[in-house]
Amino acid sequence: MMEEMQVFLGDSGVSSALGLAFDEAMVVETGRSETGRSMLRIYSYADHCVLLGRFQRTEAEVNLDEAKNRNISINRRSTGGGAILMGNDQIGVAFAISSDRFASARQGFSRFADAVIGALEIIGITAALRGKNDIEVNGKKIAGLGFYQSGRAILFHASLLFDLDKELLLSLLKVPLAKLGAHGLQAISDRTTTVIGELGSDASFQRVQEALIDSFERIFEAKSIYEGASDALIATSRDLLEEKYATTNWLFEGGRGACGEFSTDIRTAIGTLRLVIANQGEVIKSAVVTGDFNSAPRELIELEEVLRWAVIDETLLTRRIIKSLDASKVLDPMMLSRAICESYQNVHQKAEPRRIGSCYIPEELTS
Amino acid sequence: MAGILVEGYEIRTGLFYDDATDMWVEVQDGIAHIGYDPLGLEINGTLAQLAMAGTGKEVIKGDTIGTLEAEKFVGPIQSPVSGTLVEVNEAAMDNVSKIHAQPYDSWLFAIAMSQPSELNDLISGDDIVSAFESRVAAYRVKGVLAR
Repeated sequence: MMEEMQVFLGDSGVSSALGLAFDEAMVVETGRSETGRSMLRIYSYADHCVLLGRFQRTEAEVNLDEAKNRNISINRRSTGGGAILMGNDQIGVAFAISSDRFASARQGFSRFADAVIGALEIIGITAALRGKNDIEVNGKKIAGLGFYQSGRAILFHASLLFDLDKELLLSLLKVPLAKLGAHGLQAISDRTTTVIGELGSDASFQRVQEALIDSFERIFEAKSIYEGASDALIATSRDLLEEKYATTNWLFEGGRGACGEFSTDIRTAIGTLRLVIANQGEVIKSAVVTGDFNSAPRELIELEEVLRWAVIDETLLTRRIIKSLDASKVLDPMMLSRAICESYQNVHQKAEPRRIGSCYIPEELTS
Repeated sequence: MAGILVEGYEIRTGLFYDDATDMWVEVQDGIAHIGYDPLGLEINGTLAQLAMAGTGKEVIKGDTIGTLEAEKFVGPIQSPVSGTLVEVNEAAMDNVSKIHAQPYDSWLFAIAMSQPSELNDLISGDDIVSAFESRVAAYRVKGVLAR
């Protein structure tokens, strides 16, 4: 029997707090519901806002002064992953479904990714899942995915790049790419693409929206129904807004582990590479490969993906690189692991503990 | 405590295992020390962040006792036994590399058990090896573990 999928459209220019509260209310109500009905919401945020991953540290991820000057709101998702810039040109997709439908949350995640990839296929873009959380087109990221399990339901999130203001992104987010100056823009172009970039003038927001609905119906064998939000959904959304997403506590509830950044130079067959790594505690949040090349070879962009989420431990790192990296023909895994760990130790051991600033709530925000 | 490799994962025959949460449980004087087993770590991927409830929280088996962000999963940490949360291993939670390298030396939280009979529902003794093999096989069939 075909399942029902309640579809919410038409939300555009929503505030970050309201948008996130509604998404979480969807998963809460899906978990409580006995109908087995899933919920799909396609929307965009007001220009612009920064959405952090569940455990990221606000001060370590966002240039707060820049955000304040540009009147850009900041909020925190319940899903994991990294900070993203959202606005009218980024399509938000939230999908809440009973966890009983899958053997595991990860399996559900694969199907969610298939649905987004299927939608891109419908509009003429051939895409694929890259690593754990990204969808790519010819090696360039076009969408980021995340998910969160709450009780008996799972919330899946996707941020699909219809277009992207790269300069704004670099000015707001404290990503290693921002340290590359003028090369940062090129580096983003090497690593990301957009619907407009792929389709040019054929791109249409509405076409993407229709394709998403078609693809979700097919992948989840569901029939779309269009009803207004229930009273329960609205009430839960309002509660979450007041108690969570509109509060300063939630915004600054970052995870444990000091945030930092370090770099290491590695000699390879194709020259000397510089690896710039951002870490939170012992986990690599992101890595960027730079060097004397106009555009990063695919194997090295692949290395960035392999290093993301890796634990900075020589044995674990070597094992991970050998297991998943084609670029091991360019880079010696053991040498690479040792270089990363030594650079981390050098910075980590020299670093003075910072009680206020970077990874902690700024003094002016604690009052 | 004896360690055995099963399908490439170390298991310890003196412990209890819960296949619903992929956790190991060690009980002494009514206190259960609990951590992720090697298969659980493989399934979740790198445990980037863990946040636990405060001590004193009372839980029923299966209740959420914290949240985690891992490489492959973001969601609740569920307790495999009922009781009161009496201790959180902050040192382990700050040492992700040790959790992955030495999972059995990295308990995450301790529960003063209120229902000791629940241990009968966990896997122990002679059943551990076969149950672990079955879990690995099931995860492979589901496609969440590489063959």
